Amino acid sequence: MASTNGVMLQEEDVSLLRVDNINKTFVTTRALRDVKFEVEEGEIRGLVGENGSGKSTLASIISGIIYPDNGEMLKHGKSYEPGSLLDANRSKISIVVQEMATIDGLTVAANLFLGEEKLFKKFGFLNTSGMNKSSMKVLQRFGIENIKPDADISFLSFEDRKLVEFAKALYVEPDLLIVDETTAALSQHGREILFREIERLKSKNRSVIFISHDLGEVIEHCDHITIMKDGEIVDTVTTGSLKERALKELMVGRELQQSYYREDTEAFYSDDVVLGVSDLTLEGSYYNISFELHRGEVLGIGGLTNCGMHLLGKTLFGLESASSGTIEVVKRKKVITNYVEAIANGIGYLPKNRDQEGLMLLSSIKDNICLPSLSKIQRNTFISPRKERELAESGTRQLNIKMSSINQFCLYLSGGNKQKVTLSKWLVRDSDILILDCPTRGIDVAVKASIYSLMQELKVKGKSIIMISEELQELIGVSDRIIVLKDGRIKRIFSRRKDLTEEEIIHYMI
Amino acid sequence: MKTKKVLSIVLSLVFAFVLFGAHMLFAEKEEERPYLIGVSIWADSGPLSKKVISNLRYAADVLGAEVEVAVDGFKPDNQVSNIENLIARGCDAVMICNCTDAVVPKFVKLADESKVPLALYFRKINDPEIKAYAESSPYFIGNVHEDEVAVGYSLGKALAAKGCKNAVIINYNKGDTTAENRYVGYKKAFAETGINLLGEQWDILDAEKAANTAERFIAAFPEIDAIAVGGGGGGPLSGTIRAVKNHNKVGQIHITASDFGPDIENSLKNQEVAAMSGGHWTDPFFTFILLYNYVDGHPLSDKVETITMQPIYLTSVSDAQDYTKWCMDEPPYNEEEIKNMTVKHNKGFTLSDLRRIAAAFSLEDVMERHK
Amino acid sequence: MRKMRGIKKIIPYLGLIMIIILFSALTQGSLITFRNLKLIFNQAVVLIIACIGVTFVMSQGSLDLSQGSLLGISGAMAATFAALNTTLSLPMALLTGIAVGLINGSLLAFFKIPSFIITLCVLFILRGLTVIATHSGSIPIPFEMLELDSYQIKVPLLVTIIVIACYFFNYTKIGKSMRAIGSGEVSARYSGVPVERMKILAYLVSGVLCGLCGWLNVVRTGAADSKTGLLFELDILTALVLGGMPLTGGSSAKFHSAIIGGLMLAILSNGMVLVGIKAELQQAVKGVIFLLAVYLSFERESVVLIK
Repeated sequence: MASTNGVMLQEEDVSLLRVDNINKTFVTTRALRDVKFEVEEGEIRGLVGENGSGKSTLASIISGIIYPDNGEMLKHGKSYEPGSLLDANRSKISIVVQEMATIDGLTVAANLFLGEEKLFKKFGFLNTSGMNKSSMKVLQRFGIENIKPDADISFLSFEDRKLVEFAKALYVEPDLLIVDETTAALSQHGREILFREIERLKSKNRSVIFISHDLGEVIEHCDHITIMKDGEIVDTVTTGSLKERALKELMVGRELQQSYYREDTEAFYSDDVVLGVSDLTLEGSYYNISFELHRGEVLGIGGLTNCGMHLLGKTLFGLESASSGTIEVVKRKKVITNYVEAIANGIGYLPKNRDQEGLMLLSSIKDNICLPSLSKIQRNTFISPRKERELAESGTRQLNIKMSSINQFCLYLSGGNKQKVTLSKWLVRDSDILILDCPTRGIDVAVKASIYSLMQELKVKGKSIIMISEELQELIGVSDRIIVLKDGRIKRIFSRRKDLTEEEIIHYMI
Repeated sequence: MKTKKVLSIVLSLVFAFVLFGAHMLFAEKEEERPYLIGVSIWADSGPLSKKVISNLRYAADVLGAEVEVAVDGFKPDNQVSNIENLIARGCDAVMICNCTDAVVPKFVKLADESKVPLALYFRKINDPEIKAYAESSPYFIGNVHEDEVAVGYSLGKALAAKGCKNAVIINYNKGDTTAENRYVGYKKAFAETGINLLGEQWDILDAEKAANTAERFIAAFPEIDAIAVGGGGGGPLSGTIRAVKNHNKVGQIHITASDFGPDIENSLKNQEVAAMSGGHWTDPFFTFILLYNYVDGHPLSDKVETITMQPIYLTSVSDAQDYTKWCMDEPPYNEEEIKNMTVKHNKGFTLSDLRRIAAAFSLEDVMERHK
Repeated sequence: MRKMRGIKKIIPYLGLIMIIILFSALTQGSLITFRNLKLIFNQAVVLIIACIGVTFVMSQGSLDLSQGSLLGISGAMAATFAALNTTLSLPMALLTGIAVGLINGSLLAFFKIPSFIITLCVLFILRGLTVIATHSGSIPIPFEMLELDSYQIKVPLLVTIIVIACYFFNYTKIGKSMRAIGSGEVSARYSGVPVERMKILAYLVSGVLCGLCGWLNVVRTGAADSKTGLLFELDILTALVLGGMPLTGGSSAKFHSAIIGGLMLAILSNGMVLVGIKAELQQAVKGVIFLLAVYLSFERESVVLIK
């Protein structure tokens, strides 16, 4: 591993962007301290670190969304002080942010040219058709012409909206593009577009800062990688022969345990069937799904984003009603038709969209954890505050959730801790069957590892888990069996084995 | 959690202290003070209610008493609350223009409970059962009202005198005694003089609604030549005039109204209005006199008394000028006359004197006394 | 941020105390004479009970604007049936409330129309029905029913309602589920809250309590009038916001808002009458205070998250 101090080039050469001693404090937490950072022309720079290490803060400062407390930035050797995102755009720096940044109710074209409408002003009126035409050109150039410029953006899928944001960031022809944790939201197709464009920028001697939790991806595409921890830059390394594991250690700042995933290489579960699914069909989404879930089994379900597996997960939990077929909790001989029954019969569900579906952000950790278990702790309708507290405390202790108190609002938790709270809801309820939809989406390595070990722990205790995931490594790493879906149909069921490879699974996915 | 509890205890203590500490501090002081008469009125804006209040204040000034006004918007719950509040405020007597007969029993009950005399103005109780109930109370003193049937009748005749043949009536809400009585009067006059009643609309309390209703009537009945505005010299009349003006029918459609509008002289001069009744804002004044004498320890009667008075009718510009001069710019009863209506200043004053004064009230009466 | 939250919690209490002190001073103490306090209680009872009902609705982040007309129509039903038999009046008022609550709740739960639109429409419909039922006038009740308007009935009734409602709101699955819906309907559903059932239940509670208020109001005034309850829904909303109820509902919805807010508004109205502020000005003062209360209690974070 070649560690260099910044990227040492000739002294007289001026960097594209130079960040000097930037500090930023949010109320009481110091998000950035004395950050020094340089990006050269024609470079793809990876930026990694655990949740809350300051990556997004740094990106936001560079792109003018927030201002630093002190320190300075130089672009091509000249002072650069962006007052806003548009300001940064004018200086040829653009960003694709982590959150959703499109505005509902506006068309794709209006979103694309937001802030630049004056280009299309004619006699004081907005020339909508001109704007749509220009948008069409932009979209075509990025190979996403399936998105219509005059469509209301709120009707687009999450991925398409991200791609529109991406196109918006690119059409200004930036010298420096920042991509903040965007790939987690994208499918294979979207990622291909993204990386194709990044390579194109590089070939034009432009630069990219690429922020991601997916270290494999970062290593594959970046020239250099800067590692951040607790608001400081730990190191900048040249990718070269760097291994993911070494990078992880740099991020976490300590040696990682030997294994990230479970160690055994054989499927291992009881013969007792806990959940029987037969001939489940939801028109337009998935068809004739039949499988059995066993006691102590981790059943992975994989496929492309739109293969129907996410809706299948919701159906298993009774949130969607299938057009035909049944879901039966075998032990209780109970057919599940709605979510209230599902919970009563020991099924728990971790949704993919954590902030909207998994948590009540403006409620306390206690309220969130206790909600599904209220009927368990009530006594003749009475719910004692003491019991609630005890339940929440046991849940947070079990998962080691970092918080100031159980009365803290979930809004102020980091992504990993939010995910732990969502999981904790079902753990304290002692659910027998857990349906986890993308349980490690957008969370850092440390929490990821603890979630995997938790799954292992639950498995040993005899709980059953259905894990829906878009990450093949994860599926291979923790599942006893993997169901591969394509276009809503089961293509293949793999059993756990030592030499199972991603390629083999991909073959059945597409 | 702990701080929260401590905080709430501290707060409750502060609360209790403020409540009882201040109570001790401000404990009701008994002292000599002028009589306080509580008046609940539908509004404290608008020409009629403003004149009622100012006239009462003048009378109270003359007699060294005070008037406390509370606004009820003609809503039953507000009226009940107002009477409760006025009594709590320490009023020695309360007067109100009840929005409906049905609320009167409650008023009477409140008066009985707190032993505060109560009287009505502008009103007569029509419902015999409620009337009997109210009259059984020792604290219900009486009521003053206009002969509203006569008002409607006189104005109806005035329309006939203008040669009108086809009329509509725009009125206050049903259940409002005044409005219903005027309606009866109008119908009687129309029947006698052969005027067709083309339509009627109730629940009109403001200018907007009145204008819309009048426009609809004018559009629906081209032959229309008279609009009788049953209530409201303020809003409803001005709305109706506006509608007639919009259709350029001034002089062709004759309007009559009760309760003088803001600019009677011009309205009459421009032929916007054919005839009007009004000046009955003296009515609450007689209620006030009833209550003042009672509170002062010289009740005029030991029974419940109903006093009937006549409004002033105006049909010409000179009438209107006289009215403005003698009734508006100067009080219709001067200091001496008011004092003479109290037993305190005029030992021999009796109920029948008051009845006579009220019945005699007219433009000529005022002019004769003050010329 | 968290400190602000702490301060926000006590604002309603401070407001109540400040209003009491202010008006005590302005009226030289006549505000807090025992007689006047009894009066304030008497005038606040109906408002507080109605507020308690709406608390359940607002904790879900919904609104109930139909209350004003519901007060009118349930009063009209009570008065109409009292003429036949006085014992019928209370059940009829309650039944009216239950029926309206069920309609409101079902429309919201199954047609997914925003609650303020539904209840606003219901407000107009019921006002129309009230005018018809009272023949655009008023219906008197038998005189003996006026005797029911007594502290011996109202005090125990109010205390019972407060205790039961407070228990259900704070210590049972029902209350907690309703607040969960306010905090995030989707998340609540995904945690097993039967959202539709809870919505209907909330409007049912709000309806039946308002029905009771309709009856109490008729017994108090002795008549059901076509104008009874006009703008009452805004009084309730003002009282609850004064009491610290967030318009978005959720976990910051507190039960005491109904009581504190109801008392505050009653004291405010009573105090302004005692001080002798003009009627138009009273409305303006209420408006300004309402705005201030909304400003102070507004959860700016939640606006981003909850539509």
